[in-house]
Amino acid sequence: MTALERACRDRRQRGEKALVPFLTAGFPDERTSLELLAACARRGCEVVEIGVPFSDPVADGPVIQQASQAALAGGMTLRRALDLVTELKDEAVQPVMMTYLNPVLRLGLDEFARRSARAGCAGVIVPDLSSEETAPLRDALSGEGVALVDLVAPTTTEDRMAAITATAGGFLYLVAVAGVTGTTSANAADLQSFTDRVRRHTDLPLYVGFGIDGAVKAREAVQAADGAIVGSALIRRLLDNPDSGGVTAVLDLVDEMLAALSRRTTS
Amino acid sequence: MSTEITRAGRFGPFGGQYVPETLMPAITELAAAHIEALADPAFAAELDALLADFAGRPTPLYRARRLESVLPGEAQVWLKREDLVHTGAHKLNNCLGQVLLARRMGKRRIIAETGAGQHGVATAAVCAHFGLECTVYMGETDMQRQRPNVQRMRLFGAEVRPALTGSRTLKDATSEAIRDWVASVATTHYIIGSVVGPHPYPSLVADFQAVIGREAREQIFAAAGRLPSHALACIGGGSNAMGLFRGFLDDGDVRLVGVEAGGGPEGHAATLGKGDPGVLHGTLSLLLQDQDGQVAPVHSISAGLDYPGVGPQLAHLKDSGRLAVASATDAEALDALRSLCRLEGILPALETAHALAHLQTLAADPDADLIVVNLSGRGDKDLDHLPPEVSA
Ligand SMILES: Cc1ncc(COP(=O)(O)O)c(C=O)c1O
Repeated sequence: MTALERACRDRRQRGEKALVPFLTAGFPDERTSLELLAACARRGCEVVEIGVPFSDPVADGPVIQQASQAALAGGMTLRRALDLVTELKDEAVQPVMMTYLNPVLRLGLDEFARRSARAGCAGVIVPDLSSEETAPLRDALSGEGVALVDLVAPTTTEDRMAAITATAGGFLYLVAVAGVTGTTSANAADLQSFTDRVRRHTDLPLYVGFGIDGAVKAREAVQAADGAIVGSALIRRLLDNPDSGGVTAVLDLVDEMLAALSRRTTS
Repeated sequence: MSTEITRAGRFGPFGGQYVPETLMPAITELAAAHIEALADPAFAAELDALLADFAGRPTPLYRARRLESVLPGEAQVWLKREDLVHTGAHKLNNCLGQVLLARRMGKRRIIAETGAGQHGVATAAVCAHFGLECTVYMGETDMQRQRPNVQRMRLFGAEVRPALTGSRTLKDATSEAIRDWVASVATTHYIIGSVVGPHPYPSLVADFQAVIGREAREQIFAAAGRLPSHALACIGGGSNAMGLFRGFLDDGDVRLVGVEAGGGPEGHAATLGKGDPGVLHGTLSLLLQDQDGQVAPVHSISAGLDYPGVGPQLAHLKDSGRLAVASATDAEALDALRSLCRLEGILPALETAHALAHLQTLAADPDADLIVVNLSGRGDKDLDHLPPEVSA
């Protein structure tokens, strides 16, 4: 079992829900994105997601697109994002890298797997890699002890769900709604039935992302699942506070969401 | 066949399905609908009737004698007149096939991307014909340089949404269409306009464009009593090229030649010539990219060739030596456009003009004695943006 999966399972065992913040590497700049990830880790976000900017992010809405463009303009690359991950080594955190496939192909699957492991990357999420095409990357990563995190969506059929969960590891990423990042999320009832449907296939920890825009949605998500992933809402705060208030605004939202998650479940 | 598909949707190493999981069920459903439709005589009958009555097929194969007279060598040049297809380009062949598939799948809303606007117009036309809701994504830059086609789409009742990101061209319009589809996949079919995208699109679009090559093969036999020495087409994503080439893939003696956008000082869009393997918009093919795997900015005077990717089957045909790849610059394309106007009274699209430009080189080859060119579209859409020295 990978370190990522161990950590996610242990947390569930302890009855703690996970908040996974997503930030784009190099946005608003390299230092700030690193500081924010470290600050989240110190607040108890055991898993953090580092988004590698890509020129054509087809799974992302306007907010992450804008952050990606700015980060690319600032010179961010996959190699430099891996360097950022390396700098998180002293934090008690499982860094998970979110990258589109092409930068990985360009570096080479084996080279990417080696560098990821060396940087201390615990998992990798590739939003444009369907389960039909995952085998080569999964093999390369698992040779290095890095988890390839799979995604399932509300449109995923039972057959596909069975095939995906058969090889999934780390945690399973539940895409809450059919749509791009930053859209409105599913309602609580739909989230519950989606999560129930996935649980019939796997006992992996289930983390819900897409449209988790604040404390209320995060809490709804973890009433059904084991964790909530928040990206666009954090990045929007950076976009809305271009001067200096961005870091505080992001961490305030993280604190609100963490507080909502640690409140005793009432359902 | 000379282009073995190694497994579903693979052409040698190229092809595949690189899309978000949200889309996979729809793509799987589409692949099944395609296979079912191919086996259904009623589907073929309905499509054939539309190709005849709505599209105006078969299109003529026309010998361009005055053009021949100014080319080096003795080659005969025959133009496959896809510019005479309703809406002005080969794009309608694919749209008719796909809209019938959408109807079989019960999808009532259609989306498309467009560069030159020809695919957008063709999509808007089939949606008007069948009373379907239609949204077309088009880069803001392309909306400016192909304005007449924006008007035509709107007249046909389509909503044209500008793509405002990146280079604001075909690549960005395609990304926006994919984003729309991820959110609307339950009710919406995405009519991709070229032999790109995830499996089954490259095969499916080629199947619907293969009518070009089927007709051309018969017509050249009837006219010249033999197969051509060369089949020539421009390549953006590659749909008009694959459509023509499909008629001759198994005829090893027929040389296949594709012409990409050589551009100018601002850059180029010669993906087959200069790209490296990479994944964009759902398929592994050749791709113009930087050393970090970011998609490179590209340039062509013609919006329909201004794309950093190319169909996976063409990448494989090139790698296996079956396809020869050339390029023509912006300036050469403009010259070729002008000569076809003056010599034959035919105004080709700027995309098509790239294929015509290569005739200067190809006709000098002593082996090139009988050339079939895909005249993929007409150039009315380009009139506003021709430099004065061309239209004067
Ligand atoms: C007339 C014409 N020819 C060619 C193309 C290029 O596309 P493809 O390579 O798919 O034929 C276009 C695309 O817009 C077009 O309008």
